[in-house]
Amino acid sequence: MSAWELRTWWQADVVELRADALSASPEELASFGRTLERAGIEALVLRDSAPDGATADLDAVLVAAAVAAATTELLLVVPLRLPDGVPFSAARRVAALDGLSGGRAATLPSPGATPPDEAAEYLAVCTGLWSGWDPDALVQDRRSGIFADPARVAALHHEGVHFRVPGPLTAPATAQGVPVLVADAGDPWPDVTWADVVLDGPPGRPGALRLDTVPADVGASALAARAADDRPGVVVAGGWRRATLQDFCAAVLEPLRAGRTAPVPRSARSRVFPAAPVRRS
Amino acid sequence: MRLAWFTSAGPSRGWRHPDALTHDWRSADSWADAVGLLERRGALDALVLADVPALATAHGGTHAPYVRAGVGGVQADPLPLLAALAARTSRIGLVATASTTLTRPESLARQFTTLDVLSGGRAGWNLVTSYGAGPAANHGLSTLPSGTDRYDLADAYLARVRRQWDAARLPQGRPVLVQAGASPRGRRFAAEHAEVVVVHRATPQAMREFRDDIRARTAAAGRNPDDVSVLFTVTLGIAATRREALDRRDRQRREALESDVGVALHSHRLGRDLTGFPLDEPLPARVLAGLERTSSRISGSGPDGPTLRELGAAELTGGTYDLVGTPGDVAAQLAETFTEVGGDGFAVLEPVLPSVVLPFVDGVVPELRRRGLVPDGYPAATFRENLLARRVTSPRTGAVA
Repeated sequence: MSAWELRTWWQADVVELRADALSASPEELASFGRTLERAGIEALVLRDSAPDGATADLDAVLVAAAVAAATTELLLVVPLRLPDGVPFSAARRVAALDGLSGGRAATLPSPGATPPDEAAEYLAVCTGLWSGWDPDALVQDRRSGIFADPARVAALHHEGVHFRVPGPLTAPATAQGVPVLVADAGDPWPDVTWADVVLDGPPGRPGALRLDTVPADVGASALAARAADDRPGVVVAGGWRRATLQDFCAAVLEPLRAGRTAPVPRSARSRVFPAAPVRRS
Repeated sequence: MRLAWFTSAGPSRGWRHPDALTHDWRSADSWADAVGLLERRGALDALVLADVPALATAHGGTHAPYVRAGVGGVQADPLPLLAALAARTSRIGLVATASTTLTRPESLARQFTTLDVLSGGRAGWNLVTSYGAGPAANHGLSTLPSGTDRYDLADAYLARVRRQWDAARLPQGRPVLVQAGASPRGRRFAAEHAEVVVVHRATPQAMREFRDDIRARTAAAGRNPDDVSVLFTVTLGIAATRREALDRRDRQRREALESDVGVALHSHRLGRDLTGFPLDEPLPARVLAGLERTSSRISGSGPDGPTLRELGAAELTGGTYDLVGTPGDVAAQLAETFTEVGGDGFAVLEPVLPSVVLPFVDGVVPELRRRGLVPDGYPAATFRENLLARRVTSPRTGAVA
């Protein structure tokens, strides 16, 4: 086995785009999310925005939260930027998305220039924090006034080389426990044994329909033809324009709906691992 | 009169409420339904979500009493919830608490840029400098700077965040700045920067003194005092009859005196472990000396001040300006206090549950509207424009609301 020891390959269609690819008006985000859902797209992978002066630098987790508010089934894969802060606040933000979306959050850590040992410790801290509240900890017995069982809420007490994090997180986990961990095969990880899912068809690999390489004047029918030829597993959208997005939804996603049954609204983890919905570390 | 609803992205003790069974405090759908009521006919200016990114451990050195009761920091990060609510509400201001001590300025600027873009110009930032060891430790800090130093650092931090916002050209220009510090240094910071100040004061006279002080400091800082709204915290006990409202409050106070949760919350407020102190005696003066946080300003039953049991009970019910009665009673108390204070408005400290929100929005607010104190609807699209445009004149004093 190579360094790419893949624990699971997730056979699903996902759409990937940058957080600033949409105009970010609530109506447009809601409409986009619902279109993906109707088309049977399993997940929306949001990448961090790359502002070019014309668009604002947007936080992908917050954009995902707005999409979550307009959808019921779509899984939301958000970036975890390792060089960009402390693991406690990053883990807590993803946990909040998971809570408000009813367990539909997944996260895609990107190491950036973080050294491998530090990246591994960062992920261990996040996973430890996400595991701190047992999914069964919540009691909410109104008569006795017991909200949660403290014996099922474990502080992390992490004292490592790069991070010291007492924990625990401040709110109960959803039914899926740890949000699904997604690795991008294009990222420089020494190994991906930590990942639940490795994204098939990363940028530049066959199987991905790259919309950011489609010229702006290509019409809807040409887009649809190209999508039919490539049969996208992953649709990668860079800084494309709103018109392209609307064409894409109308020409590619809406027809995909035919012949599909919508996914059952369950948590991200139970969709990836149907037999083992809860992860405890 | 400006009105905000102040809670956190957690159960906020509301999980024990009768309608909590159908209201999942974690789900964006439940929040969207209840917050939709807050913006009905322009009732509330803003929803403010508090945040402390650590579970309390002051009482006995463990999070157990807080986790068991669902209090003391049991809450989610407010920003994702407000981003979700941006998609499900249309006019109300959405204010998230975030710390200048615990967050990198470029990250914070990006988060509030996103909230302002997603909400079409309705974002607010409740700027806190954080206190206590728990939040610092979770963020890898072994110590926090002193309160005064934290504000000095916050000055530079805010300037940097504003540069990033100004370069991004947000719908609202800059998110509305909300602040809650009442220390002298905190007041100076508010006078120089804040647009909304949320603070607890127990009496209308103390409210008036605080507001006058902020307005004087704001003018001294070269700003128009009318550009700062001072909102005083209130709690609600609304029922169909005055008798029912008073009886329910009495029952809640009696239950609170028997609960150990309030004492744990008081440990958390003081940052001092109060386990082992006798419940039916006042806290010794040596315990209270030298603490960064101060005890509740409640009056107790005995001559020597409130007992620990009474201090604990005040954490659960009362402890701030408590309005009890029919919707008409509560509206009259608000209007009278508003006139005595001289203007601005109030922040309601209650969970966002339909059964708590509806008596206020459908009972109290129409009464305030009838008195000309709350406008009908939102005149503008952005939070700041609404704050400024919703200024109405107090009938007796000519003060602005």
